[in-house]
Amino acid sequence: MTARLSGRASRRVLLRGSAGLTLSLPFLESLLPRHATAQEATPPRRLLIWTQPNGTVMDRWAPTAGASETEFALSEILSPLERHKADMVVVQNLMQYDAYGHQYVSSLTGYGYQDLGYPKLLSKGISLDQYLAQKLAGVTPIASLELGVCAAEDYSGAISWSGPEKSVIAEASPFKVYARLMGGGSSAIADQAQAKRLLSRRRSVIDTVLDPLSSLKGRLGSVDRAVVDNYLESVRGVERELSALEARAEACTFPEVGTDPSVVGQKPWWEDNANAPAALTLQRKLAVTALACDITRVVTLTLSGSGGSSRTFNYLDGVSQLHDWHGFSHEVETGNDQELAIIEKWHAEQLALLVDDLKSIIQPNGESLLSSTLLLSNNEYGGNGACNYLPPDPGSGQRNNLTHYAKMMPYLIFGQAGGSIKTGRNLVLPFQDNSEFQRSQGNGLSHTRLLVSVLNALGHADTSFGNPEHAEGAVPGLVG
Amino acid sequence: MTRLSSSALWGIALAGLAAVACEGSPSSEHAPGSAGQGTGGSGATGAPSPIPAGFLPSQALGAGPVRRLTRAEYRNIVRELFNVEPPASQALPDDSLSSGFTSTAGQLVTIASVSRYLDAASDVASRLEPSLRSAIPCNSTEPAGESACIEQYLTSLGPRLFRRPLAADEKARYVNAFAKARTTQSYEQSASLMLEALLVAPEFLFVEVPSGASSGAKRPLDGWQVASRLSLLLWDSIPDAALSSAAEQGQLTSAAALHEQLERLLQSERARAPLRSFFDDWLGLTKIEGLVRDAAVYPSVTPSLLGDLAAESRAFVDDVLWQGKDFRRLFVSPARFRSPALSAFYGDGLGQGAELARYEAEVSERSFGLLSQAGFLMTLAQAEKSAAIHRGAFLRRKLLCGALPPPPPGVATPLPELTAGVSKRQRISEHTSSGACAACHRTFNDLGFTLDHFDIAGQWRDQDEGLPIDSKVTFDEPGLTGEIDGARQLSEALAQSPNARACVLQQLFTFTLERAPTSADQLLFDDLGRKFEASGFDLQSALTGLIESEDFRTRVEPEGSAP
Repeated sequence: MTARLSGRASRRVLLRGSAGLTLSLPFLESLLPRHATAQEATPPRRLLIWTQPNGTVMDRWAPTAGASETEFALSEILSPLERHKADMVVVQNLMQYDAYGHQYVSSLTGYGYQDLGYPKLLSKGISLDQYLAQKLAGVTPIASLELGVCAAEDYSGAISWSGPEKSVIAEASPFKVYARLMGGGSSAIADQAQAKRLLSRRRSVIDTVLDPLSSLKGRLGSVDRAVVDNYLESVRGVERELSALEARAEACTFPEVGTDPSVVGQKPWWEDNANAPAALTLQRKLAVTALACDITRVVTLTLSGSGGSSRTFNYLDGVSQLHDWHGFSHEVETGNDQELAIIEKWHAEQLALLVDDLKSIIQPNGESLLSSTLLLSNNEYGGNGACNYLPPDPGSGQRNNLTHYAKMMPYLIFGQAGGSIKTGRNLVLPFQDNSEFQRSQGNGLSHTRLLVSVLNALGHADTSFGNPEHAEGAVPGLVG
Repeated sequence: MTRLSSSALWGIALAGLAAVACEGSPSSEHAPGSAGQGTGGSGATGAPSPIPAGFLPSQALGAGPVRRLTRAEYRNIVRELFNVEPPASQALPDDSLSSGFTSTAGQLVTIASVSRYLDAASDVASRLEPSLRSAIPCNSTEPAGESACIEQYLTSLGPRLFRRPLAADEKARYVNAFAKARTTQSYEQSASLMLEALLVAPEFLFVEVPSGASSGAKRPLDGWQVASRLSLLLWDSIPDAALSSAAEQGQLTSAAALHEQLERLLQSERARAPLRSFFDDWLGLTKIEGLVRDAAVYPSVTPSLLGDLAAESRAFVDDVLWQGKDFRRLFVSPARFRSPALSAFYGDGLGQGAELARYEAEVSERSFGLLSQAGFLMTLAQAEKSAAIHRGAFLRRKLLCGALPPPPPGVATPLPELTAGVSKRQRISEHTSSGACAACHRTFNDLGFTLDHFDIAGQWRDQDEGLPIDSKVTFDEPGLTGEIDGARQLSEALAQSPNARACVLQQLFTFTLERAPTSADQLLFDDLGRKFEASGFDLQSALTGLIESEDFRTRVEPEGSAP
């Protein structure tokens, strides 16, 4: 159900997700550029990146192409997204170069990684989301928001990198995200009154630390002083963020997340695999709230740590406990693709709910939040299906276990990014060399093209991103 | 003092490269000729140094700036100070591997990491809050009286929290924070707010010490600072009462006075875990549990087996450090650690008990030391195709301290496809023999080939891809000459290699003094080498030597611009 903003009488918009949660969001003057009035304002463009590990079953994922790019039929795995077909673009056959094994690190950076021995995999560059966040620094209270579901905290699990070797770890606790968005740090917060109390306490703590009368700096050498200054400057940064959030939170209504059921000394609630679906719902709501309230314009939502993901899905019909998500992706090699297909279809359902949420927010200019957003559905690997199955390594007696494919990446885009993307299309991109041999090997155009296209769609004129060796420009025909 | 050039004494035997590096690579300045000559002294004893000439790189990396507590230190300190469960490790800002060892040095702080410190402090303080009336007793209910109680508490807490007594202005700042909060909040709430602020104070989070000295200036540490270095190094925590009292009495500023405390801390059980972390970081043993092998190809490699393999390698390095007291035993030792699962995996009949236990066995081709331990071997290579390359690079970098730059961008091309009758070794040799690749690969591929009898699950094999394994290699470098066939012979050569011994000293130096040694440290290093040799290569004695060195009790003000 969609509620439309009707003039000045109703200053609240409604978000009604399919899980039945209702959020009411106030109309935000501060969201608008200063020169614009409510009626004619152009909403800012937003980026939301949804990332799954473990690839997919390619031949049960790829849509069937029709006579033109606007005629296509969604596959079994993508069928839950049927209702959003007019708002999506399928981008097929891109390839991640410089990538092998665990690909979160290279996924949004467009670089290969520095291997300090798994799981210490370090990025060689900045990721797309952080690059945008740095461009937008100071515009919104939080430059970017990184959300995770059961996200393993290791380097290989990081999708976001604020620069070479600087991972930005996704926050897997919806309760901490909620508290942060409300300006209360990560403490459990029951309501906005408590958030206020915590905020005031945190201010006192920060004021004590930042005491200008402190004699510490005077006792330090210049290099040491710079290091301590960096710390104190970051403390000041937290203070600024708190103030900006406080102002924004006043005008924003948050989804109810309840109190954190975790017990000290035990595995946190949100890290428990059984709670992953509920945690995902909360993170989804918080992601949409943060974008709708203009707390940030860049959000990543990562569905677990990378390849090593040990999430299990025995709560889904037809999925056994025999393997975890990662294990089922390897099962595809042995010919068993049924369980991975079920898991992937379930994720398509969850993605469809996220698109529902974005559609149900109506902005002051009368358009949905989805229309000014670019939602990229990203995957760590290319398909694991029959079309890229690698033959055994003869002589070794072993199957080649390069299941973690970097070719034929299964990208989806939702939303029009403020009109820069024409949706309802299936882009089947050519391979680098279209010979029969190359098709079977699947050497596609570089996925860095997609990173460039996303920047272009959001109004940035960049012509390359990531490894300059793969600076091929943008995805042909995607933007504009 | 007469200075004998160590290269003059050792030069003939060690002709050629000391620490092998790639020709023409950015790191080739590590090679002799640019370093070591003339700086290598013989020290006071006049005995030759066992450290190969030119082993230490010449470039001065300089002293590091102040560093923050590591996660382990933060958690131990909170537990010890307040007797509460500390925040989870992942809730704290990450440690980086600085110079190969876990440290926060050089890690910039971001808003996100400050938020983690703030959250952790808030978490600890709010859990302490209910008990603060009894933890900080106070008879008075008057503002002045309460402030006096708080000040008294800070006087007793300070030396442990800031690892030195609090200055008057510091105490005043926190008493004021309490008093200000107390105007609207309860005694407990106000005291907990003050503790929260103390836990994010830079004086708590940053380890090193204010000095105000100019760049490059050397300055002896005071007793408190030495005590703090010592306990953070050996216990990952703050000084205990005896060490604090030694610090307070102004002891610890000489090697002799330090010795007693050092021995006490070193021989305590509490030193086990922090010193194990030396091996964990150096040899990458922490990676064993997290390994993933394709279950269809290596069905025996289960998470439970990996746990046992990690325990095996850890027990083994502990054995080298505490029982064997001989570094050479890292490479060749009769000690075996077996659980029932390990016994089945290795198939050597050892390990009849229910638990992991120590056995002794003959040194054989398949079982001889670290380089035959499956868990460790598995950490070195993920794929059969390139296993020799990754193994060789690790051995060159970590066990021989050779400088290898990462491959230049764009050359990480896949190995050529399989041709019948051509072995992996031939393919790797062919593929890496051209100009740009050869400069580095020639320094480490061969090391890797000697391990070819072990597959990537660490299990012995006689054939690969239907071809017999060829693990024979001819070396021509200092301490590693002539024909070596297989990992056992390589291990025997490494146990005798001056470069491997110098390398472990370099690793231990970096771990202990938190900076990499350079040729400017030649005198200390030579001295250390002699002591190491005289002790029969006892790592504890090398560690003691480092801690008793003047460098341990000295802070060199870092030079140059800040990071």
